[in-house]
Amino acid sequence: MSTPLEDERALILVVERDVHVRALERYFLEEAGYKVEFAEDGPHALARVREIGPRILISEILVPGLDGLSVCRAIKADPATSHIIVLIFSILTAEERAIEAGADGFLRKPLDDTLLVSCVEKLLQQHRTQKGE
Amino acid sequence: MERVSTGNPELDLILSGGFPRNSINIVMGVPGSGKTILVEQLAFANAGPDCRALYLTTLSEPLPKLVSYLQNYEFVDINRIGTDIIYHSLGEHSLRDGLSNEPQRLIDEIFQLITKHRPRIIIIDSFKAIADLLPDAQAWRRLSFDLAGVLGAYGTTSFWVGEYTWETGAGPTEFAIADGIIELERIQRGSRDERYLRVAKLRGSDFLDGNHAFRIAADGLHVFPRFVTPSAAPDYQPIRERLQTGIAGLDAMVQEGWLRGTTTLIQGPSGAGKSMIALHFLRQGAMDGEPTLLVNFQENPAQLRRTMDSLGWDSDHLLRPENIDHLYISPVELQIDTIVQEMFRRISERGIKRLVVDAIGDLRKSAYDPSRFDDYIYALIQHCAATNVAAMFTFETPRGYLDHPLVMTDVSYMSDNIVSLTMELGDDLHRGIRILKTRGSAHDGRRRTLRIGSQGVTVE
Repeated sequence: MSTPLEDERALILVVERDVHVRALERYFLEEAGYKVEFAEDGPHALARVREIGPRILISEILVPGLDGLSVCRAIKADPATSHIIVLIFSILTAEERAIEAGADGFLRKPLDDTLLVSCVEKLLQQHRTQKGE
Repeated sequence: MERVSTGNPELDLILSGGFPRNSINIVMGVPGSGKTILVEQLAFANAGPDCRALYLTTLSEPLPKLVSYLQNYEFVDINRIGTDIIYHSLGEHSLRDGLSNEPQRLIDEIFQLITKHRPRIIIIDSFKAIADLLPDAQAWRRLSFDLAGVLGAYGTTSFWVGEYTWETGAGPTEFAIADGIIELERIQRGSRDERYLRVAKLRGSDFLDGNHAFRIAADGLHVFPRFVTPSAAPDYQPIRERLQTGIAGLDAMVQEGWLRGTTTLIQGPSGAGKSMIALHFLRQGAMDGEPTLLVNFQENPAQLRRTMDSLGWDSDHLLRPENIDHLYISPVELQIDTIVQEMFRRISERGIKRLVVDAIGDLRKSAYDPSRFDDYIYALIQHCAATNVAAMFTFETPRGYLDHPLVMTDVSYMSDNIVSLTMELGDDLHRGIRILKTRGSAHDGRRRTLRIGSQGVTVE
């Protein structure tokens, strides 16, 4: 059973192509106490999900190979990974499409550090509540 | 679309509400054109605990000097410097030690500043100075692209200030990257400077195009949005009320008075009595309890007071702002945008019911673009009609000119009423008056005698 303390150190897989967004996400999420790994395209993201088993996946929609929404659907369709929280963080105004794809949350770019960290915290809290932890 | 206010309501109006949030904007202009004041005013207007502004200076101006001069402006609160607004000299770290060898150092420094201060507004002044430190255009293109990337990744609205001019070429790299470009211009006309502001680009947003006059005051920029001629006359309900000028003989020539909301052009040579008729018109308004506005360019307040006193009028009473509000503008300081904006402001704020512009020819001289003078007059006349202001414009015709034809044809066809004054110089000076046109009203078109006596004008 995970605890809030463990969630603070939760592993986050960020699927992002933009080097500047990646650098900022890493800085603010690590500052908030999370561990951060990266994938630069959709297929790589799915492979990393299976490999490292992140608590959360944060993905842009516009990533090469397989778009972020397809990555989300694949994760949610697989019983082995469906428990992973997916946050779509995109330049596109696509909240409805993200929710339809099974995402747990949506944030629009550009990056707002306060918003990003609070959103991650909220999603982890919701997940804990749903699991009765 | 979310906007960042400029801290200046008129400039916000030009920008359809302000700069789009999270955009990159260039503020360009020659030295001394007001670029730094514009962005400083914006920074102080927006900055707060939840919206920190980061002001980055480069090698163009030492930071202590910039901050020192800044304190002269009323919008500056020095207690907020260092908390809400952070000043930082990029030159001390990335630039001075050889940007050309390691341009990435600049990106790294800005990244560190963003993560440290988390600013919502970033100003780089001067941005152009950075380009001058790089060996070639290709290196600059890469650096500015990277810089746009890091600024765009974080939710900041950025301003790149630079001494750019259009003469520098088709537009440097940063012009293509920027979402918005504001150009400040300073033009010398005779002994005075005129300042204009223009939006050259504002991606994804509407804006008011053209040159907008502005001036710099202790409280920042005062911007006067360019008049846009209404494509159609405003919808309004005219009031069929007759107004008197206080000159009984003249009022009798137009069915006992002039219709409210109409514009009357009084034309004639110098000394024919134009200004006197206009003063009677205002005085009668004041006596009837109507706030009036006199805009003139030749007769200063002391001279006006003397004129009224010589007629036996109570100038102290009449020249109270609630009776005759006097807007005197020295001919040296004329700038039509600022004058017309000020007229509109006073008409609105003081509920002006009668307006005199003495003389319209002086106003024409102040037009930056003389071909657009008619647009200003049309807008002014329409505004008066819609707000039921009775307006009177005087126009001086050349000496030797005795009667029509009209000289200011464009203004005359826009005016509802035209009164022509004449002077015949024989053994005696004989002044004449004739009504050439009244719109929506009958008039006596015969020529009458006009006399100027110790108590003012009479018409026989």
